[in-house]
Amino acid sequence: MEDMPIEIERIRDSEKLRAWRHVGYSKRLVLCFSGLGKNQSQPPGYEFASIATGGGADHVLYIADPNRSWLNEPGFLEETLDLIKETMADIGAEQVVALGHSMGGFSACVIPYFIPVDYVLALSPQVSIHPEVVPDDGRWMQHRESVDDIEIVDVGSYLEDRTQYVVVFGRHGREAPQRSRFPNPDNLTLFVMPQTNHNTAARLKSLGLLTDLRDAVFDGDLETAKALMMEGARAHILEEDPNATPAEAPSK
Amino acid sequence: MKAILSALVFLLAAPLDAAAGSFTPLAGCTGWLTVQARACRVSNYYKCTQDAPGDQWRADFDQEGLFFASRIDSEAQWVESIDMSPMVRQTLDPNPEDPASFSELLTGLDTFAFNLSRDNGEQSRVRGFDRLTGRSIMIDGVTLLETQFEYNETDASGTSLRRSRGNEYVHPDWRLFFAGPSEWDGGDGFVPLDGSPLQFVFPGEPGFFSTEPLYECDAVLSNYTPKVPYGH
Repeated sequence: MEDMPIEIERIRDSEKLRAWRHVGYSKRLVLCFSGLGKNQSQPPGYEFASIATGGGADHVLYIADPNRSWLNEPGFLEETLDLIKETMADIGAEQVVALGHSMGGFSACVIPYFIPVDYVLALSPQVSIHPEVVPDDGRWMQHRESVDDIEIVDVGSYLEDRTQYVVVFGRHGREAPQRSRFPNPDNLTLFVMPQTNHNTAARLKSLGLLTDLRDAVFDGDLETAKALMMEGARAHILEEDPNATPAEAPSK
Repeated sequence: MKAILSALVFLLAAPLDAAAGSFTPLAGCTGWLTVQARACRVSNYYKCTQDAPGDQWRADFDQEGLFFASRIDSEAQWVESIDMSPMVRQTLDPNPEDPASFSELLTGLDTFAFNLSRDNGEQSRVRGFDRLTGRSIMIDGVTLLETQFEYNETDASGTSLRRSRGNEYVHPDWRLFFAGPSEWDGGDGFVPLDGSPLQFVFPGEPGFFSTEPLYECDAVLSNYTPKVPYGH
């Protein structure tokens, strides 16, 4: 298929908040939160690009935290919520959904506490960056240690009953500190993908599943999401025992 | 034992250096190749004077650092490997029934059957084959021979733990395997994988012994698939 350009316009670029917007024609607003970004010397840019837009149809706010604070930088959350409310009013949003990977997934899971969100798709989110919650996870310390005051301690305290969450983790052992502590209420479906570490987004894309999964989750079609993940990615749903996962063989 | 300890010290030290984006082998070990691969992985290859002649180490890094290392011998037998999360060391049991042989593979076909032991108590048996397909491929200026492979790893009772099949690549002179398009089954059915090499970096070149994978890492995913718009 021929690629078509998606228009994404930068609307904020301050020390507190970076934001971009895609203008769609549906009544759905997608909140697309960025992760830490690959280039640590630059502030994070937008992620998921056209995939977030659902073929260009949906409005998207791409939101990046230049301080990489997991929503804890003073003023970031307030500015973000103001921007979301402005956009919702502007487009007459009838549905708000959220998407993100890693730190972006954490933000996507937390944001429904502050503003009504129907569906969340979170890929490899952190349950927490707090050293007392995840003492055995030594990743991203450069950024975690620079957060002066962790007010948003863990995802579990911010989950909302009215929101449906789909969360995807890799099965790799390094994800265990976050994966094994992730809350698992009835309105949250947690998939674990084999042969995957923290790169769930790229892995889903390489399997050709990411666009369809995004659509299924945001359409509220959990059965299709399950079929995609279980048949396409050979993922399993984490029920009760988060550590009941078979060991993996590394490559030769 | 000395070699194992040296290698472990090296590997444990590596993540510290990895924060700076590269690492330096310990005294007695010399890096000679870095491979940037698909699926967000970079592998660094090195040889240590403490090891038997022909032995080679490979240390794999993803965006979060070192996650796996292995040592092969001159016949590319999987002598030992160390998984970092959690740390589990796996070794090849002595006297394999049908040792893997890189030399045999270069004649066309190599079958293998051997046992593995892990220091978490798990023991398994691996059976399979590697076969040259007759095709070659050039990646980043390096010519590799394509192989077809298949293996099944079972527990002591014969129950399949994991199996894989597909294609890999070998370099006859380097006596190394590189990942290719394949499938892996951990009990839920086959899932496709592709960790094919994309870039070979040699000493003195930018990116040599880098710990930062470059390809297929980000969520900055930009492909666009036109479809029926919502509401239409």
